[in-house]
Amino acid sequence: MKKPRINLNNIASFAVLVLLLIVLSILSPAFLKSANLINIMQQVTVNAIVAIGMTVVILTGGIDLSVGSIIALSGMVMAKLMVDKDISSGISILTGLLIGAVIGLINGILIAKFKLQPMIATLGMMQVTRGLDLTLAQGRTVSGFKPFFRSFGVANIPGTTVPIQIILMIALYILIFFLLRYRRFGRFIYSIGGNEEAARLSGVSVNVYKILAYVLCGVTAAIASIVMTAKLNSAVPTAGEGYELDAVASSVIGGISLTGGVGSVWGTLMGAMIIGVIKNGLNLLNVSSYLQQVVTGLIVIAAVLADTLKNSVSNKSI
Amino acid sequence: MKKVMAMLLAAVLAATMCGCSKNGEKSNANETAAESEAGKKEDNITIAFIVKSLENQFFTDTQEGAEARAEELGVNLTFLAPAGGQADIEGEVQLVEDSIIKGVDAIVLDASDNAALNSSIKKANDADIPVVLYNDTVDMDDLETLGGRIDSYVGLNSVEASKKVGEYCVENSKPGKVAIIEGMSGVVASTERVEGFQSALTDDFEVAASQPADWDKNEAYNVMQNILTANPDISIVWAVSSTMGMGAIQAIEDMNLSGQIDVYDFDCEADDVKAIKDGKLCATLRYPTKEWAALAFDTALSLAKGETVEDNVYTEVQVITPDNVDTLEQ
Repeated sequence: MKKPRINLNNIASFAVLVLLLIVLSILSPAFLKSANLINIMQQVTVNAIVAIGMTVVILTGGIDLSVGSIIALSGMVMAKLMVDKDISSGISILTGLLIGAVIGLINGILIAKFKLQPMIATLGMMQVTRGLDLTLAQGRTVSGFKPFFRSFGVANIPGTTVPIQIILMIALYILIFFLLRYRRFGRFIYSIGGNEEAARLSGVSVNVYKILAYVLCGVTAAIASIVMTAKLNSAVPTAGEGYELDAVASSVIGGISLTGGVGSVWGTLMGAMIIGVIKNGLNLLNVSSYLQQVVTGLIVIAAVLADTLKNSVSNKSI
Repeated sequence: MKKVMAMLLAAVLAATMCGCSKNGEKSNANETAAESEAGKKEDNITIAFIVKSLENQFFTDTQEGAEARAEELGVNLTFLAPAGGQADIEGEVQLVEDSIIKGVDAIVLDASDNAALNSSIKKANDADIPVVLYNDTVDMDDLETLGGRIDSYVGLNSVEASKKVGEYCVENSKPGKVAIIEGMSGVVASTERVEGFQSALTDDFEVAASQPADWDKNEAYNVMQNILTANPDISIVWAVSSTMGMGAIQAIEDMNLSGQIDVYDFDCEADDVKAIKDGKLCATLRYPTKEWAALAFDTALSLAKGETVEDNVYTEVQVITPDNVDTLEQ
C-alpha cells in the first residue's frame, strides 16, 4: 500500500488558516464563540460546494464561469415548481439537479467536442442561463417553501446546533476526494490536466471525462443552490452573481493550478474557509467596506505567492 | 477580476466600434436634419429607454410604466437592457450607440456605471439627441471634460428619501444601537442612502456597525449574522435595499431574535409589503416606479418636441409603515 503523499500545498493553506484564526481571535472576543464558528462553517458552505465542481473542472485545465447563473436558474425553477405548481420538494430538487447537469453537459460538449475555449464557452452559457433565469422570474422573488426543502438550509443534526448543510458539504468533499484519489475517474482527470495529448495517446477518452467534469460542476452548483435557497427561504433572480469568482479564488488559494493537473480538493476547502474566515472576521471587527476589499485582495495574493514560491523550490506533487 | 474582464471586453469593443461609428454619424446627421424640417408629430417620435438590467422588480415596473405611457400617448418606444445585466456595462454602451445610429429622437438612460457611459452620451449630444438620465447619475466633471452634457435628470433624491426613513425611525423606535447593511462598497446609491438615514439619527442612536453586503440576499444574511454575533445588543437595522433587508430579516428569525430588532429598508417591493403586514419590517421607502418611469418618458418626449424642461426632476417618495401599508394597491 502506497504511503499517503502529504500535499505541501495543503499545509501552506492550513498554516494561513490557522494564522488567521489566531489573529482574529485576539482582535475580536466574539470570534471564538461556538455560535460564531458554526456560523463561519455555515457561511462557507454554499461557496465550498460550488468550489468542489470548479476544482474538478480546473484540474482538467478548464474553468466554469457559468456556476453563478446555474445557481440562480436551478433555484428559481425549484422555487416555481414548489410554490406555483405545488410539486413535492423531492421532485423539485431532482429537477434542480437535472438543470445543473444539463447546463454542465452543454458546457462540456461545447468545450470537449467543439473545442471552444472554456472561458468563452462558459461565459456565453453564463449569459444564456442568467437570461433564462430572469425571463422565468420576471423580476419577482419566489418564496415560501415546504419544511422538507427548508431543512436543507436550516435543520440541525438532532440534538445539536450543528447544521446538516455542513455535514452535506463534508460528505461531498469526502466523496469527490475518494473519486479523485482512488478511482480511475480521478487519475484520468489529473492526466488530462497534466498533459492532454499524452492522455489522449494513452487511450483516455478525453472528451468523455471533460464532459463529466463540467456536468459534475453544474450539479454541485445546483446542490449549492438548494442549500442557499432553502436557507434564505426564497429564490431571488439576482442570486449567485459573482459566485464563480469566489469558487475560483477558493481553488487557487487552495493550491489548484489554473493550468490543470495539480492540487487536491482539501486545498479548495481550506481556500474556501480562508475566504469565509476573512469575511466573518472583517464583519465582526466592523472594518470599513473599502478596507475589506484591500485586505481580501492582499490575502489572496499572499496565498498564491506562497504557493508559487513553494512550487519553484520543490517538485509538484499530486 | 470582473472589472479587468469588463475593461478587456470594452477595449475590444471600442476597437471594433471605431470602424462603425463614422458611418453611423453621417447618416444620422442627414436623418435628424430632414426630421426637424418636417416637424415632429407624436407618431413619428421614437424614444429609446435604456436601463441597466431587468433583474429585479424596479426595472420590470419601470418597463411597465414607460410602455403604458408610450401607448397612451401613441409614441414609439424601444425599451432596452443589456443582456448581461448590471455588470454588462459594455453591453449598455452598445445599446446606446445602436440607438444613436438608428436615429431615435431622445434617449432615457439608467447608467450602469458613472463614467463608462459618458462617451456614448457625448455621441448622443453630437447627434442632437436629447439625453435624460433616469435613477442613476453620472460623473458630471468627467462628462464635462469630454465636452458632453445631459439635458435632464429624473430621479430619486436618495439622501432626502433615506432621511425620511431615519426620521420615522427616531420617532418610532426606542433609542439604541444601530446596524447598517450597506450595498456595494463605493457605489453612490449606497453611500447616499447610508448618509441620509444617519443624518436623521439623534445622539441617543449609536451606529455600532456598518458593513457592505453587495446588494446580495445571501451576503446580507451572513453579514447580519456576524454583526449580531459581535454586537448582541443591536436593536435597529437599516438595510439600504429590499433584497438585503429580507436577508437580514431571515437571519434575525433564524437566530430567534424576531420582535427584538426594528428593521428598516429601502425599495418597497412585494416582499417588503408582506413583511410589514407580518410585523417583521418596521418601514420601507416607496417610490412609485411606474409613475417615475412615465415622468422620465414625458421629460424625454418634451425634449424631443423641442420644449425646455427642468434640469432636475424628482419623483415623490413615501415612507410605508404599518399605518399606511393597507392603502397600497397591489
